[in-house]
Amino acid sequence: MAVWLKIDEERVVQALQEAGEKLDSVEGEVVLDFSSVRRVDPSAVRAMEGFADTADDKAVKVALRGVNVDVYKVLKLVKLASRFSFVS
Amino acid sequence: MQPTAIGQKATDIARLIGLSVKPGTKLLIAPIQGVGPEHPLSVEKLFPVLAVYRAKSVDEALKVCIDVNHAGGLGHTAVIFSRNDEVIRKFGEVMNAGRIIVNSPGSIGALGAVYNDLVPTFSFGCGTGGGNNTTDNVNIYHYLNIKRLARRTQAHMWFRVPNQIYFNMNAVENLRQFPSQSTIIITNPALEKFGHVDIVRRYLPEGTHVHVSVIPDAEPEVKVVMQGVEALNFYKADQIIALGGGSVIDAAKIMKLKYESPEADLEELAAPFLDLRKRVIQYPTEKINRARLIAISTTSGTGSEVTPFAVLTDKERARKVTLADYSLTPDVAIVDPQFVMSMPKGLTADTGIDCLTHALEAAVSGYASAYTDSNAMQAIRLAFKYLPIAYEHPGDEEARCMMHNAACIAAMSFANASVGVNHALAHAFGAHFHVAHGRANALMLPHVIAYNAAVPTKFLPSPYQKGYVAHKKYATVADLLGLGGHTIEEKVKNLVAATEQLLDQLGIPRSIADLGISKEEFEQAMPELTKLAFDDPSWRSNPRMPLMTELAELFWKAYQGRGPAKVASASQQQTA
Repeated sequence: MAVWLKIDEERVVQALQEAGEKLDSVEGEVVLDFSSVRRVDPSAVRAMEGFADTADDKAVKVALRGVNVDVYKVLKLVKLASRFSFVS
Repeated sequence: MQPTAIGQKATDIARLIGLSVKPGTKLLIAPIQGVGPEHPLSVEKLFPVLAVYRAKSVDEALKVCIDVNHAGGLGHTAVIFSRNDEVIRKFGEVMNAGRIIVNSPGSIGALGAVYNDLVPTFSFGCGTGGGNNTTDNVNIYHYLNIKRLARRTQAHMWFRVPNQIYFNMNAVENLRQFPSQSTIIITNPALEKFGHVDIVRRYLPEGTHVHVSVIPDAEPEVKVVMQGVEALNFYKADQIIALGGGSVIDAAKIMKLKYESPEADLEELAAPFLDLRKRVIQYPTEKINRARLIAISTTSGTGSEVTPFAVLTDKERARKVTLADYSLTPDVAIVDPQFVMSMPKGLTADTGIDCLTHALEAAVSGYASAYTDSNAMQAIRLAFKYLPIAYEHPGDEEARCMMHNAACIAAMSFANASVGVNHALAHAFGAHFHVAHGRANALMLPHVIAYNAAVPTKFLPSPYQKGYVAHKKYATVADLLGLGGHTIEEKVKNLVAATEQLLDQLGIPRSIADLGISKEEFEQAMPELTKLAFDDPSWRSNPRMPLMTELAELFWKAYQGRGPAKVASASQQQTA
């Protein structure tokens, strides 16, 4: 499946906020490319949770591509991992 | 998955599921495709069946391990067999387990003392992951009531200053002894214009390549510091000469830090601490470049030439950020009064009061010692005597020289005893209202003396002193200055009066209101000012621990202005 949005490590929060606003025009599933994100801080985690909430409201499934082990561990710890699917 | 399988032999389990295996089979291995409730063999089993997940990469394998870890067993034990140290390290990093067993059997390995040096046990603490209060291998020592009788000990202290300090007129000539391939002089525009840079150049050894980096004449910002670092890198500097007041020298200290250790995170290094020797954040020791820092002060002054502190201004958030570490102390200090002869009156007054504040705060600090007291007292004596002369007669060489030395001596004192609540208040106020540091200190000083001399609402622990001594120290200062008085209270009152008199002589405004700041504006700023002052690490060596309400009260007193300051009555003082 094609990447809908590539997330830049320097602006994770802004990118997810902008992406959330564009979900109205999406159906089915979107793929976010996290391959350049080496780590996520608390604000990024909050943004991901917010994005997941918006996607749930709009019945859009979200797949994360290229998530590294460190980010995966954080998502698992904060119980966000189950809200996304993961693709390599 | 049946309860009837629990504790059964592999051969019996095989028979239960209709699998034919050889007699004596010890273990069944089952491939699984995922982790979780839909893959029951992926979680804890109490029978000899091992689930195997074949991953396509180390990355995938680690994620599956994280999934298994979270599916059941957080905090317990994780086992890895690998010859790759990096994979082992990463596994240890990502697994939430109190025991990471490497290249050894899991259960016996976790028991400890057989395949490794873990303490032997059958009770495995699983930490927060498992809802336990430890990740230890719980053993007999956890079940013993151990008493520790702790006698008071005298903590060792320190006195750290640059190992070379050259002072008195023409001390700058000592620059001849410092060879360098590439020297950067950091200074401000005014000093370049006055010809001070040329004086410095004159005494550098022949063959030294010299470059000048001029920074704005204001408290340093991060942007300015990083521009300086670019220059240091461009010219591959092996020597930095900071020629200026506190702002320039502080900027140079931070430039040197970032030049030598580019990965240093200034925000992280500015994290507050209680004890300089025990904090969490450590300053970098690995350096990719090395440069000698020579500080030549041109004000009398912050004394930054001998201190381990550097203050940055964060204009975006209107606050000061303080870095503190002895690695920031310049290698060489040059205290040459020829560089202060042309200081204008206002600057003489402001920087002179900064010097006095340093000395007074160091004298009553919780970290004061015999070493710092001797410096503090001398600096106070010199400041009271020579500052008015230097202010009224700027051409008086003796007065300028003595004040310049006083500033350095005061700084040697507070570099080791630290400052106090006066600086916390001044930092907050000065950053918010853009008032020069020395002047901000001056506005608070008489009120802080009275405040510190009173019995505290809350004491700060002071392992170096046997009781509350701030009022006695102020009384000692009053005696040193010959101010008279028979009781401690009288002497403190006289000291406050003498300080106010000095401030008047120097033309320092009597109140914050006199600066033209309206009451409404000040009132509006108060919550922010109080919080900034409370968050400032400067007060942590203050003899009194300031409550936020007390900080607010001090700000208001400074707003309303000095007059005869009120000191607590004798009945409220500790008896001598």
